[in-house]
Amino acid sequence: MPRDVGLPPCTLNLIILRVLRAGPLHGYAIARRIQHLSKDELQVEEGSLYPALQRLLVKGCVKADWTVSDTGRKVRVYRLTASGRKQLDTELAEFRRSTWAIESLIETA
Amino acid sequence: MILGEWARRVWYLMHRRRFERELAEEMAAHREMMGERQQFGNALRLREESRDAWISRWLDEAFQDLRHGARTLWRTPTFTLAAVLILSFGIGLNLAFFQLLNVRVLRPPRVRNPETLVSFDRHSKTFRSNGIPYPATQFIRHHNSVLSAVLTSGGGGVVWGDDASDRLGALYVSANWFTELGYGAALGRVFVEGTDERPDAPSAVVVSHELWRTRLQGESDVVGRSVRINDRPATIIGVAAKGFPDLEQHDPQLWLLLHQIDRFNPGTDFKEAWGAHNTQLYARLRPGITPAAAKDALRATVGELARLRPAEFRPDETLEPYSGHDGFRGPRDHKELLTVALLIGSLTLVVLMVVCANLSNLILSHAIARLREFGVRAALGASRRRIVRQQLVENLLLASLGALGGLLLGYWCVRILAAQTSTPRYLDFAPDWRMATAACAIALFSTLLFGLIPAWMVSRRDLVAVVKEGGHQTSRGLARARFRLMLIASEVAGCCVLLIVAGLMVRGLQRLLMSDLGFEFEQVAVMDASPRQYGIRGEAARAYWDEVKRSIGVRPDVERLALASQAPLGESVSESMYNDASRLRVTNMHVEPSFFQLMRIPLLTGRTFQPSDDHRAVIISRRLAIEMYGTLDVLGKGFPKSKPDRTIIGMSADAPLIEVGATTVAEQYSPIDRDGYADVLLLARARGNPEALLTPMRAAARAADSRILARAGLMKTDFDERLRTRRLASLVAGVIGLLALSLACFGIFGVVAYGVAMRTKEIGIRRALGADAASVVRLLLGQLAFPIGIGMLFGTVAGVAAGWMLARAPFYLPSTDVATPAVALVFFALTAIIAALVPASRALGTEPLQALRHE
Repeated sequence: MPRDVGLPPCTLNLIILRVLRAGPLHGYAIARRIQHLSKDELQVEEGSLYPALQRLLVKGCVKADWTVSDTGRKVRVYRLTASGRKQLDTELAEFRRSTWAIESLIETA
Repeated sequence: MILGEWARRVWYLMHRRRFERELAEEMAAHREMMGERQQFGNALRLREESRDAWISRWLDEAFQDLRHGARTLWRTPTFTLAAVLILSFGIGLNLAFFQLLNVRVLRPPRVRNPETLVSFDRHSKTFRSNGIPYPATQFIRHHNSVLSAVLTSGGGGVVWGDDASDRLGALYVSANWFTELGYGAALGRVFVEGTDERPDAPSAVVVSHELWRTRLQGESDVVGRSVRINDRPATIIGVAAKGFPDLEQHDPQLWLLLHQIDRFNPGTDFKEAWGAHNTQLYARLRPGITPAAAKDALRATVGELARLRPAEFRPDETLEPYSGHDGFRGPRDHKELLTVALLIGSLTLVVLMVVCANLSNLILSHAIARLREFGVRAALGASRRRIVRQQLVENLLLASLGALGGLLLGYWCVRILAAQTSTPRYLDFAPDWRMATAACAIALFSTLLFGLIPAWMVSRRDLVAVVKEGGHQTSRGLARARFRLMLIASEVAGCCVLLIVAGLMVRGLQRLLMSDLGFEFEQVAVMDASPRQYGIRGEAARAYWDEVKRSIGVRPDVERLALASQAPLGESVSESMYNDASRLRVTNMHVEPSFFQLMRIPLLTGRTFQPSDDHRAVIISRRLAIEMYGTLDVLGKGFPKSKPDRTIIGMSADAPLIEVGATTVAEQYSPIDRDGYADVLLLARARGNPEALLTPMRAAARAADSRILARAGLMKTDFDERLRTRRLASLVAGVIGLLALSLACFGIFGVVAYGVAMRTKEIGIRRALGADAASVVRLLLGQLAFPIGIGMLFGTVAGVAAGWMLARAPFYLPSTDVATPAVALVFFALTAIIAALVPASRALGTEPLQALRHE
């Protein structure tokens, strides 16, 4: 059963932004996409997803609009903004740097 | 970017409802898509967490508290109104006082660079004078190294137009007066150094803005107009700027050139007289020169003056500078003012504390009534801190309303006071940033004072238990709260102080008005003809006065006439100080023999002057005799004691002519010497109404010499002026005292009544157990005696101390007053008894079973 591994909170932002880089999605789709892309390893709870999305909205990294989905349902779709793209790059670099540091520590210590 | 982020937050706040609704819809859609079976989690908590992303929680809660507080206050209008009113009173009083202090004491006069402007007084070991002879000022102007500009002013009223009784206040000034003080003209131009000082320059006058607006109807073509001043032609060269300050608070309507004073007073020797004290000297210090340095540097100049004119200047004289920054007040005056200010300030603060104690009680009672509400909130999950915070916000709201009301009240009070005490018009009382800051500070301070403690007290209770009990509980915990009793005690103490001081002030004034002043002035008229200004001196002046006295003296309604060098209670005084009586300021008067009988000043021993007496004869007052010689037997002794150059021929009763009610002044009288007749005033005692004498006196002055335009008035007017401020202060004190008394009674009533109501259950129990009504009442009252007694004790001690301080200058109040504290005690005791009896009777009337219901 896929469990929710405790993610460091900063990485949630990173993951959401990365997922949205491919294209705009609504909330449920983001959660499903994350689960799918991580091969069911990561399952984002709604309790973490929506607050994170709101925080991204405050920071201006994403924009949200109401549209009608293919099934005819009214959904709110989130899309990445220009500053969001910049933020993504920054966070990606940060993440890679810190993982590389931790890995080399584990290897050599 | 940060700016964008804040913009987004504000946008969210504005459309909050819509966004929350959309979030709810979004989550509902999510739930649908997940399929009903799956858990979604606590939707409410999710929404709250999402909301937290947009606005910080405490801000959100603060807004909630504010809205809730406002609603609560709105729902209990009587409480809110009462609280806001008494808070406005306390805050307004403090603000009014602060503003008066600000304008009169703290704010330097609004001139250019007041720190580099100084005024100079002549100081020597034996006398002080703020008047310097005009030729000396010009000498100083041209013989110094430390002053970059010298300003002079002098002179008095002039006659405007063709009507002889139309007198206006005027000031003769140096040509650089306006420019040095940093003001230009509203219309036309002001005096210009150089051009206007030429001997062939036309007679110029600058009119005040006020005069231009009223007498000249604000017409724009006044510049260049020719007018008659002292029946001499002059040209209006300009209108002064609005709000141009006067350094001596005389509020002149016209400014003329000192240089041209002889044009308006032909024959005057103003500009040549070395022995006069007719000019005020101001100067601007060179950059880098301090007032002390200027004083030192000018010693050389004064030394030269002493060599030039040894009769008028002594080598040990100095020119004492007073900085413009302190309003040209000397350190002694400054200290005195500050003492007065401190005293009044403490009084107003005490009022504020009493107000806050009252408010505290009110709020505590209010809060206790709402205990059930708090209990419910606590049960629903509100933290203790949140409840306390909500209380605080509510109190802050009250305090803000009170501060606003206080600001309005304070401003209004100050305007009234200013009008009553004839404060010069240019003093600006508009609230400035300092006053606004003071208002905020006082509001905050009072909130903490009255709000924090009840809030804390409420929070300590077990609120859930309160809900269970339905809000009626026994008297343990809160009623026994020493705090409430302390509040009673502090209220009583504060009110005691206020009452005592107010009582002293009122009694002091009574004493002033009804006591024996030492002289009688109600029927006396004073005329100032200034013959010297018209060049009439010496024997000619004496002859002039003889003529005037003759023509007035024949009137049947004139009882007596006398000439005197100064007007009692008048403005200009000449004081001497003697080493042998260093504590006293001695008024130095030159009078005719009939003076004493005219003023009804009894001669205790000796005789009045005779025509054969010359300047060696002197009459001194009783206080001076005791202070200098230690005995009343001073006839024939040499005066002054250590260097006698005169002989005492008589001793008069004390008659403090320069300052009403003062105890450190004495009088000394000499005959008018030959040259003195040019400077004396005429005093006339009327048999009937002194007002009827004024016009004939003026006419007689004119008849004896057609050039002379004299001024005449009643001595009573001067006295009223002198006393007006003190009378007002006493009135204000009386009002404050009464208000404090009612506040205290109100507060005591509230606390006591509530405390007794709280103990309904306990009373019920006692009655059920067999106690009779009388013993219950005795118990209740007995417990009140302690705090009231303590409060009275502290209050009386503090009040007596305050009274002792007020017995000194400049109030001179009687220092002991037993009646007022006694009255206060009776009042407080009565109030407490009534306050206890009313609810007690109601409690005693309740069925014991009902009181025991929740046991």
